[in-house]
Amino acid sequence: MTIHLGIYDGPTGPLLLDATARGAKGIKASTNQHGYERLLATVPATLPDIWRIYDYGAPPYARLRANGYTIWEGRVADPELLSEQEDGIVIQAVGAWDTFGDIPYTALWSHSGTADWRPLRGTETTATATPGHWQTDVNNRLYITLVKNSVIPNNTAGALAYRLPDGSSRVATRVSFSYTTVLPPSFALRITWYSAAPGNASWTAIAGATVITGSGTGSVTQSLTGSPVAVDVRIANLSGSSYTVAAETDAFYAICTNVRVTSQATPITVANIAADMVATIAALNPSQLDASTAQIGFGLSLPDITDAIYEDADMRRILDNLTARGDSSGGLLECAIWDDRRLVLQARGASARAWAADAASIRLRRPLETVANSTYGVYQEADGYALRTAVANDTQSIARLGMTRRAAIEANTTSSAEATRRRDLALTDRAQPQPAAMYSIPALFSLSGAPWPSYMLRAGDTLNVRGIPSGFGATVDRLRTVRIKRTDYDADSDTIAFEPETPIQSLEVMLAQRG
Amino acid sequence: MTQPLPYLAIGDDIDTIVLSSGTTTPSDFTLNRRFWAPAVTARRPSRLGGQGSYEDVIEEIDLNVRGASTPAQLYANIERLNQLLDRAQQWLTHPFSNPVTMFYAPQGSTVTFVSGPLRAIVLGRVPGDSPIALPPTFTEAGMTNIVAKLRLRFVRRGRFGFRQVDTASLGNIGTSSAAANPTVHTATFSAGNTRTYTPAKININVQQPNTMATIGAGVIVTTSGTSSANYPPDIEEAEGSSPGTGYSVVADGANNARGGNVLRFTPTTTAQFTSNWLTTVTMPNNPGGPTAVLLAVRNNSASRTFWLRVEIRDPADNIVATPMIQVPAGTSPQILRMGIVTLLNAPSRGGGIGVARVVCQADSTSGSPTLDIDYICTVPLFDSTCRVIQHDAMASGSVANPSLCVVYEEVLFRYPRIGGHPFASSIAVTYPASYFDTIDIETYGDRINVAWLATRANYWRYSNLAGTVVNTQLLATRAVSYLGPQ
Repeated sequence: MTIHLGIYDGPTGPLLLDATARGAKGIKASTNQHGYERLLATVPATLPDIWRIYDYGAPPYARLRANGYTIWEGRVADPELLSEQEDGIVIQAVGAWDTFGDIPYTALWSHSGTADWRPLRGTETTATATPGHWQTDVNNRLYITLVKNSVIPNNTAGALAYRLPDGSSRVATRVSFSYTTVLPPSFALRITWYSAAPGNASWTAIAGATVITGSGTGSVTQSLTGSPVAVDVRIANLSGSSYTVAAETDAFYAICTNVRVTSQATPITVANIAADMVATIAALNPSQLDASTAQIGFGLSLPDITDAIYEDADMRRILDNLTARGDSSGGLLECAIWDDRRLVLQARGASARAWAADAASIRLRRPLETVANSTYGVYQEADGYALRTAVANDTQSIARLGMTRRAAIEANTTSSAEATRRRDLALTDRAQPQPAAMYSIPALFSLSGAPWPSYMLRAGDTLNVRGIPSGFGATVDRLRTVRIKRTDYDADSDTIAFEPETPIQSLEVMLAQRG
Repeated sequence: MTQPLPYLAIGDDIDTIVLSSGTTTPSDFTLNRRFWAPAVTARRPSRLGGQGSYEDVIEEIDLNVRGASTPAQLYANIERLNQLLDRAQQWLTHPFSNPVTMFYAPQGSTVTFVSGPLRAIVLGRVPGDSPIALPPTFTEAGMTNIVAKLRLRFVRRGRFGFRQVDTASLGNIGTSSAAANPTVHTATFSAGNTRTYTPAKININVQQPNTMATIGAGVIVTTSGTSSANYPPDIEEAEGSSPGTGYSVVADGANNARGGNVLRFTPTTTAQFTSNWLTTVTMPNNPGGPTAVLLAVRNNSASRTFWLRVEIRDPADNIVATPMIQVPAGTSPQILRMGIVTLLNAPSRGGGIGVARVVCQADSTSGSPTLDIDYICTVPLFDSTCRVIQHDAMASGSVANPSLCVVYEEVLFRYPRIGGHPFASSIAVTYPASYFDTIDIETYGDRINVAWLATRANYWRYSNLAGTVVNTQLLATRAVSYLGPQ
């Protein structure tokens, strides 16, 4: 009898309670796509032991192990004291993925839109901005023009500004755009950045830089020094005297497109953001998460993420969203925490084990609802106007099904390339029917036929179900090899229930008997 | 000599109530004839450890109780029963009380009251139930001075065991010779095979000077077997000849490498590098089936991360692999738990033919990082006597040659324990330690195999303050036990 459930004084502390030696019952340990999910156990214990667990300071840590192998580990999140027929405590523990819910995330990584740039008021820049002399718009561009008959004092400007999220854990370090200017001589297109930017009160400039004086075209990437919380793009009168605009409005102007504010050099990838989240958690709660980032995106080619701005966001949702974008070549990703509280971001299935099982009984559905053999991406212009990519088709699937099922894939980006990649990713994943299946298997085997303990089946693993014929088509092939979405191990009876990626809707469990 | 008449009693350090005296002279308590037989235990269905391999059982005993001469004495006797079973319950919750034990010697058995009856700890009442049920005739007791068919109902440990395991003449003590760690020690019990899982306790004597106040953290690996079928853990050098591209054999006797050398991985890219089959890893004792794999590894670069896995093949070229494991931070040698693999067949192909290899990978080649592997330990997990027990450092009493003990003695203690002990000649836990795996160790057959894997500071093997590899030695005893009457 070799499975041990221990409750420890935190992830690195000593044993508080040998739960299995005290006759723990009802031990269920589940895994999902984020790693260890949840553990439940009822532990008979003396009242002093119970109070010690219940009235913890730092959350105790639960480990379910078998001969050195970690079946499950995580922090005790919700102990429940029992004092009815016999004293005991219900241990409810959650995996380390939960630690990403401890701290909301506010950060700007990359901002590529123009819709939330706005004119800078004179009260905000100690009267150097004179918005009455200028007209601006943010219609898929930053546009500033000199208004006819305005008398523009020397050293004043018309500006459009962007403020980073307040309290952002990351500061802007770069702004880049393409520009076209038609300006009087000694009028310059400039970038200014600020260390403080309160609404309708004086902003504190850190520095500024001239992009171009007079007329011209080009593109610029300006590094921002200090710790800017806001940046503006402006046309400034640097002639040394007032200037009266004799020309029509729109005769003199500056247009900036492909505007992007970032907090580091591009590309900005999911690995960068995930590593920052790990650093954020590990700095505040070092015992809850391993600070190692070595397995975050190691060896992957990841796409540049053009829009990544988060305000008070749940890191778990952010990671899910970013992971769904895939890698640069359209490959699927997975993000999870397994052993040692270490975040892993890798190609989907990179560390999956392949198992075999005999299907003792099968229930199958083939829902058409999930099929999308034709997809297009939806993305936005810089001002928020929705654009759509070209449609991509899986001709083989369309021919086989004799019908086209088209899906719009929302990309939440201003990048057509990113929208195209997400379109293709969805097509790859959904072109074939995704069978909803329920299996009952008598035992778990390696592909070479050796029986393994059933607790070794984890979410993300693949299961080859022997006994399902090959050669019938892609749908059947998908049934023969399923990826496990969730497992639920019952240590009392040594059985494991699992769900494949597309479960039967009733979500009835599939039981793998003792292995 | 055999037991002349049945002997049955329950008692603790305060009171012993004899329910069947084993002689022709009855006590105030007598078994109701044909209304009791000892419960027989069975294997636990789950793999949960910590309480032995067998289920607790419920005893229901119908008694006749009398007063010696007055009803008041009768009521006092009933109250003795009440208090005794109440103390049994108390033992589960109070750390300083002694257990209540059931003692039994069936008539005609060679297990006698004189030689020492079978024992099992009483765990108290059946949950939700009263331990004693008085019969409806109780109201007549004041006239008859007897209560017939009083029913005791309680939970006890399933196995019947003995206490006298420490008597060498009974053949349930075994020792090994001292040898430099890590060594697989085998202790043989001269009393012969047992064919039920038998609680055991071990003393691993760590022959270090008394200037070391602790015994370091490590991993204990154990299996049990018989003379004809013994499958001890294997500890084999990783540094096989011609280890392959990216690998070399490097001398590291200065850090007490086992065998003097280590296998070194020097990455030239961040790709995975697969070694050749390591000729030194032959796994002659592995029977196939589930096997735990442990490695002694050292990351020589503080700024680089390494991952590695172990692959094992059998004679049919079925290859199984552990998961890719990240080497934890630190540049000192450490014991790495690689997980469990299941081998379809016994892997051995004969001496000199390697059956294991490693696959290593680094996150970068910047700084010319290297990873060293000293030895590989494989532990057959063919039944629940096979254990891998990771433990923390423990106090040792600051004596020369302290011991690391694992004690599982279910006829005396609530729970198995692990910890330091100042003596090599006895087996007890004086300084409890923290652990990570089940420690209710059991044996089957007539021998137990034990190895202790530990590193210290810059040393691959547990070494004393002078940098000398310390010897370890095994002392083991078992408490022969039975599933029912014997």
